Amino acid sequence: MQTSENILELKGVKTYFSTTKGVVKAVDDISFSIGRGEIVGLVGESGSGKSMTSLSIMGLVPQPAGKTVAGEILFHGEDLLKKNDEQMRQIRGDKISMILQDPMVSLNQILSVKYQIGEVFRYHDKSILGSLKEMCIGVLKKVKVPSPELRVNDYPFQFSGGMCQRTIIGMGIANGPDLLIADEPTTALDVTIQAQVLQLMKQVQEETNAAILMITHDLGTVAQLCTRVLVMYAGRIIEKAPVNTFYKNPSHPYAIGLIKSVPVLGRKSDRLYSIEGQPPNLLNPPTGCRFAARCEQAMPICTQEYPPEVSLEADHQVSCWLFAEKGEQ
Amino acid sequence: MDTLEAEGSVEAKSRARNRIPYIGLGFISIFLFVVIFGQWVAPYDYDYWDMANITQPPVWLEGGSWEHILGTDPLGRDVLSRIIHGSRYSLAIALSCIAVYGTIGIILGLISGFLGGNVDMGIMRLCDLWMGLPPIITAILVVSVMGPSSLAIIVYIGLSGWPGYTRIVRGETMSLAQNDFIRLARVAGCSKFRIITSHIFPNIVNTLTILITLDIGGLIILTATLSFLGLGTQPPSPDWGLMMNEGRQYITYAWWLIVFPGVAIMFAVLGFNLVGDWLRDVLDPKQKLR
Repeated sequence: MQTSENILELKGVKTYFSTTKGVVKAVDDISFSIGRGEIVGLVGESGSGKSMTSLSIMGLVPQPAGKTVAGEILFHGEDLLKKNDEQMRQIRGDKISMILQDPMVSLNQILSVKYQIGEVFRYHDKSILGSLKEMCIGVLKKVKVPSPELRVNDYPFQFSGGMCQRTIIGMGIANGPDLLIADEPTTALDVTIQAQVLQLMKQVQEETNAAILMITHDLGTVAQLCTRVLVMYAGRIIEKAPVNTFYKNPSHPYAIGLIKSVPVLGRKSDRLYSIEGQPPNLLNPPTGCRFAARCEQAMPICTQEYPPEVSLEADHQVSCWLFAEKGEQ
Repeated sequence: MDTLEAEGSVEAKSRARNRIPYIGLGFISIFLFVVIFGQWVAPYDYDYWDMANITQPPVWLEGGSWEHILGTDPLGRDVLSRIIHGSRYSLAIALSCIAVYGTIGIILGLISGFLGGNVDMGIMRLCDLWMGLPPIITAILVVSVMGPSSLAIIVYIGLSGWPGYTRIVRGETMSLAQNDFIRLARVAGCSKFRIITSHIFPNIVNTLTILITLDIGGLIILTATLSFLGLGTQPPSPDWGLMMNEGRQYITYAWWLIVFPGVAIMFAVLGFNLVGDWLRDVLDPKQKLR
């Protein structure tokens, strides 16, 4: 995977928030890469830093409390953290795009759909390609919003949730980005619409060959769409694996717990498996493995030192003392 | 129980919204009619001296006549005509003040709320400082530099009234900036300037409408007060506050000189306040401003 084909590479990225109580380490030393046209799933529970990872890539970490303090975010080999505001603005919406969680609040209710789609073109000097309205209709057509010629003048509150999300996906891919970050794109949608939206994303991905970083809670979505999975826990990536390996042979105890806690259709069980305890407070994370307190296989070393990343296979890495040499002693 | 109560309050709210303030709208309509058509409606020019009928009481008192319905002052000027002409001064001065401090306040509020950090801190401390200036003394200072005139009032109020707007706009901007649609706009590649002008500002227009309507009433009183104190509009202009000041010395035997301009101020202010309250219920049911 570590080839020149990587369009995005994160190296030791740390995004911290300074609060009145102290520094919250929302994203703490994470590294991963995404190849061209790849769909990578980033899973983890709420508050594990998934969204902050995506915002760090976009350069949209909430200011002034949050800041990406260390690391490199290489996009086509250029460090995004070294770009100034104007350069980042040029990249956003053009080369990197993003889809947000709740479509109903992601569009400005008092501006027309046409205006908001138009922004994607207007601020990237693409308006010369044709009339703005035609281009907006084209976007809606591509994402299969019914009768786009009429709906393009509508306002977001006249759209259903699914249509809003389609519109947002349309905006995301309008300029043919190399990377699309989807932050839980289906969480706020009906189950029936979820499937349609996922299908649309897959189709769009095949057409444009954009890489997608799919952030989600939903392991079903990951299984359906992704080629690789990154598991995040308490601000750190604890396992990276190809999707098949991840489902058949998860290694980190947390990942195993995640897979076990998914209900399986047709299998009867009285209680669903759940991982005991709560994720640690990111204000004062434990020195050792962050999962140690909840881990059934915790060893003394787990609470003392953070485990190194161990490669089980070429593209399967895990950060756990169970697999590290020192842990076996 | 909770649902019942909630339903009750929803009902009460919708009733409040449907209650159109006919009285307030009536006052404002009369006020605006007089402002626009006053020149043709008023029986006399505001500076016409009817020397034959000085200090004439209103028509319903002994000695009154239909020629001067609300009486005349010691120079024989018709009180009704002066009140009608004076409405223009009141509204023009109030709107000019709002135009000046509204612009300053809104721009600073948007910048402060959206950029946050040290900029926000600086602007907010400036607000605190500004609000700490003693109003009448500053007014006297401005007037003593510029000389008493309507313009001096506009300059004084225009430069001193903005912190209230800045604070409210800042608060609105901060809560709007948390929204996902702002984030999406940034994802789409909008600059900060674009986001402020085309995404945030249109969303605070409702609030501003309420603020401005409620402010006009207060400003009419404030400008009248300053004119009453002799700091503002100068004779022979028919400003309501100035008319009250001029009538002050005759109050024992010519009460109509001070009462009628006062009544005019009261109804104009009442009209704007009633309509402002109603607008608040209609446009902004969630929030309590002020």
